Amino acid sequence: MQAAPRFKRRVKLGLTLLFLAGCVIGWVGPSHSRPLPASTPPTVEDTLRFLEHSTWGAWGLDGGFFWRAHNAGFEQFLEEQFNAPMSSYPTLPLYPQTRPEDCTGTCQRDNYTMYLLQNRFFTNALYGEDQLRQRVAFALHQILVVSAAEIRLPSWMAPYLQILDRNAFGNYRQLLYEITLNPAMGNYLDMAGNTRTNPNENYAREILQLFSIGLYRLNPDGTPQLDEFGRQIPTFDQDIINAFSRVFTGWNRAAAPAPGVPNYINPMVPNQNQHDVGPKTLLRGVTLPPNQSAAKDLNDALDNIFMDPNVGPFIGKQLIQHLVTSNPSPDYVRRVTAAFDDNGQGVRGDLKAVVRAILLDPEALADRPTPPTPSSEGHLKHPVVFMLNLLRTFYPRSADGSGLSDGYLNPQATAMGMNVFSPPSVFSYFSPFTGVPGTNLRGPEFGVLNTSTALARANFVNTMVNSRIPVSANAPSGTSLDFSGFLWFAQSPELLADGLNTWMMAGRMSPAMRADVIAAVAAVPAGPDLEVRRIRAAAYLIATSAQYQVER
Amino acid sequence: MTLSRRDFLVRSGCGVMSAAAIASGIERFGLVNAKAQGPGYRALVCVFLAGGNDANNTVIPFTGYAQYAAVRAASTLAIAQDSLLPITPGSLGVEFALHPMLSAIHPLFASNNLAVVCNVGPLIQPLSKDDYKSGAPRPYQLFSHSDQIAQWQTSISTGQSPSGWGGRIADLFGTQPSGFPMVTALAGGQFARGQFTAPLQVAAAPTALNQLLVLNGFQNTAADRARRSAMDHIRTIDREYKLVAAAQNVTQQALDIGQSLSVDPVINTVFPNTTLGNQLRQVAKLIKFNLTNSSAPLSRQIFFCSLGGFDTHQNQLLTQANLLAQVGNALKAFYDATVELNVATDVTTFTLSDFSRTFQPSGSGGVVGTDHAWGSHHFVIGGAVRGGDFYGVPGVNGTVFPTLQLGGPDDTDTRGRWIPTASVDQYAATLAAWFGVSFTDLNTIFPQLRNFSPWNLGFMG
Repeated sequence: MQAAPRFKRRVKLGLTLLFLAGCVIGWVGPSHSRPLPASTPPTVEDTLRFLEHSTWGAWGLDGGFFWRAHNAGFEQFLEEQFNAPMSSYPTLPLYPQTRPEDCTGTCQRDNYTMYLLQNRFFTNALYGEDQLRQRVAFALHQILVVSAAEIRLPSWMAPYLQILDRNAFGNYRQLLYEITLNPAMGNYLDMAGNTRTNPNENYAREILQLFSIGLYRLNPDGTPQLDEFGRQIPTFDQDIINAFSRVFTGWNRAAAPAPGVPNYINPMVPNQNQHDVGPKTLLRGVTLPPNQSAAKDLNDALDNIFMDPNVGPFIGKQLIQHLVTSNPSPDYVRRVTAAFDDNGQGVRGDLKAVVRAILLDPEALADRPTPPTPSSEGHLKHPVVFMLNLLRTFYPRSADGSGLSDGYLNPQATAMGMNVFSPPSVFSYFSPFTGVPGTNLRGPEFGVLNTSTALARANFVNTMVNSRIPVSANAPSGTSLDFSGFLWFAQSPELLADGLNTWMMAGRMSPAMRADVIAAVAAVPAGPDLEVRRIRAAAYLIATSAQYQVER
Repeated sequence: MTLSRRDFLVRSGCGVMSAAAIASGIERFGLVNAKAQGPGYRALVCVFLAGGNDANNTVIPFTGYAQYAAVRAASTLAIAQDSLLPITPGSLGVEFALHPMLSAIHPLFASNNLAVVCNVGPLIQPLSKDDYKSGAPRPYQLFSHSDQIAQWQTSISTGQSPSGWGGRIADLFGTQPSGFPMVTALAGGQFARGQFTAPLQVAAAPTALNQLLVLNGFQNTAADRARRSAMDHIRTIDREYKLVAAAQNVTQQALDIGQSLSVDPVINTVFPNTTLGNQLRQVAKLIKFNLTNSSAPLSRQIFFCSLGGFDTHQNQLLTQANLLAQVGNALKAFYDATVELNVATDVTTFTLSDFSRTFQPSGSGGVVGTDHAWGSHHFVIGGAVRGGDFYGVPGVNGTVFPTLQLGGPDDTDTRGRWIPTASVDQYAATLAAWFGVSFTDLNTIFPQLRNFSPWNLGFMG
């Protein structure tokens, strides 16, 4: 694990404050980011907005991420992120499928729940250098779902999570291959143990419907193709499902390391005797000849899926939704599809090219127009992004401030509707098709926003800003925020509102909201620790606001 | 492109839905007036038995015990006949029995407040054994937990659906002026989610109703009053941004409902302090609150509760006994609470589960269990239920109860996975019709219903 940038870069704080004084004095009041000529460094607010898309949140105001993106430029920052050391997850020792009766307490917690992996997820996100990889891998987890709701052993989940991390900047074809043969996926969607006499449709259906091409033929810009009667055109029918079901026969887990301890580490292996060797007609009429090996059929079928023109718009649009906006314009989707189809060097499925295209697209970087376009409405931060954005702004520490957070944050995420790694079903935590109530827009993350979770968000802010997550049996260190880096702003309500507008909201606070924040900060009575109390009041108001929670 | 609400619901229900359809449907929804709720008060309470409850050991032939014991006795999975709780379904003329741990609800059968719906499960169309063997259309992913849970909760078996049938009933009635959702979920599940309407999600008892939706961190100081005032104002500005406004609306709704839930009604009926007991106790409190404390009471409510642990591949005897005791005791307490609140004839409680389990046991001795199967038996409880009888669709043996024979006329194969004779659609539509959904709307909410006859299984008065 990386040391917290906070500790490494304390010396920069003085310089930062000087820099910020200049920034903030220059930008009192509302301001709008604007595209700049390539040779000009991006503005502070442009940079912070870019980091909202590409990281779990800029690290406070002395964070290296900010400086690197600001000084080196966004393209160079992406290259650095592509090469940053991977945080990922450790391979955990396999435990018996049935929990031994003497494995209780911490043994049960550590080996039969997601506790360790969830903590690792949050510490990776809080402190890891590979922020963009983590953002992309978590988006891929939400598309290529394996859920701990069924895969209950962390040792079974870790290899799946490693595949997502390892391939986040790799090729989508390789990702599909590794995910298909991952034993946790094999269990979750029933490909493991699938035989020629009893083929199971589950994986065949989901790899098409959810992991690659979707239900309907799409144009490269993500809009549906229509037939002569104006109807959408299905991508597959039951015959194709049956054919893919037969492709995926004959695979099972590799040899168990011990009786009762199934192998969830190594990829699944073929048993040709259980493989259906008949001919199979797949997508677009492509036929696999009879008598192929299980492995050959599998690779041919994955090629068939991967080469489908739907993959680019179907997967690309979802990645845009996860990183930038719920309602990208068709042109934006088309540009990302083009990057998926060809990375510029004739390679299809290069996720680096896709990520570059998403994050550097003019629509991701453009001025925020008034009135907003569907795309510039942005997206609601899902609970994990929301939590991490807040924490990373204020130097997350252990409860006593002396060390690092232990990452025991999943109970809070769960209260907000997102139990990390345990989405309710293969349909993930929320559907990309979720509508925003009362509008004609999509807002996938609204799928986990309800009366209960909305207040859980506000109460999470209260806990973090006004208190802390204390040390407990499951939280050896706890988590707290450190406001010391922002004390300079708190000398005046106006300066504080403007400083936090920049560092929490990338400059999107409206004049009316600024006035509200200033009024509340001005009402904080004089006395000891005035600056900290002012920061708490302001940070609470900003973080609980929908204006903050909708990133645009 | 114009779509009627019905077209839209059918499409959304089937998961067959374009962006344009979503857009036009939601736009229309904003314009149309919600269907008025009917007179009187009615509530549906869904209790989901997650993991797949073994119905074969829940409702057991008493007269025909020998056939049951022939398959289950050797493995020790059979429940001893002298411990069973006999019941006599009026229309079958022979005795059946309930699992001995269901003693709390056993008297409700004789008092005609408990009905059993037999061999019900996901279907696309009526399916004989020959149909099944010849590859006729059948629900997707039979015997898979996640998929079968989805099908019970969505009543769509042709493909995935983002909305549940409880939520789709609420869609029909729309958002009520009070902002209080028709559906309240005490547990997660697709059942409660509509295409347009989201359930109120709340914690179970013992959390008091007036503590369910509370904003923490405000004292009565000038600074906190100023902060709260700023927070409340911030929630009303920048509404030209639609996502911002929509998120603000949810928080506003939560605060409004939190404020309206100003009291914690007292239920005198004692509930067991269990997962399901606490969920149903909260339901009873919410019903009492709606009827006696709400300024704008709903005339229709739907609740969703869930209890897990029924996936008894091993150690079934003890595990299921404990779970059924919890279910029976909680259901009885809840029924008693509806009597206390004088709404026993207005509230109907029913069970769902992933699937039943194989009649043929797996393993033997202490670890004996069962595997995933299909058609199941379910309980419907309430004063409006035509209790004291079994319901369903008669199968090959001429009764609604399947033939308990491995490889027999109701078995998919040789392990005792009963092919349902009654569909989830029929079961759900019977409940929805009692709730006040018109026949036309039933076919909208349950697009497969038209494939089945009779559409109403007759267990509701």
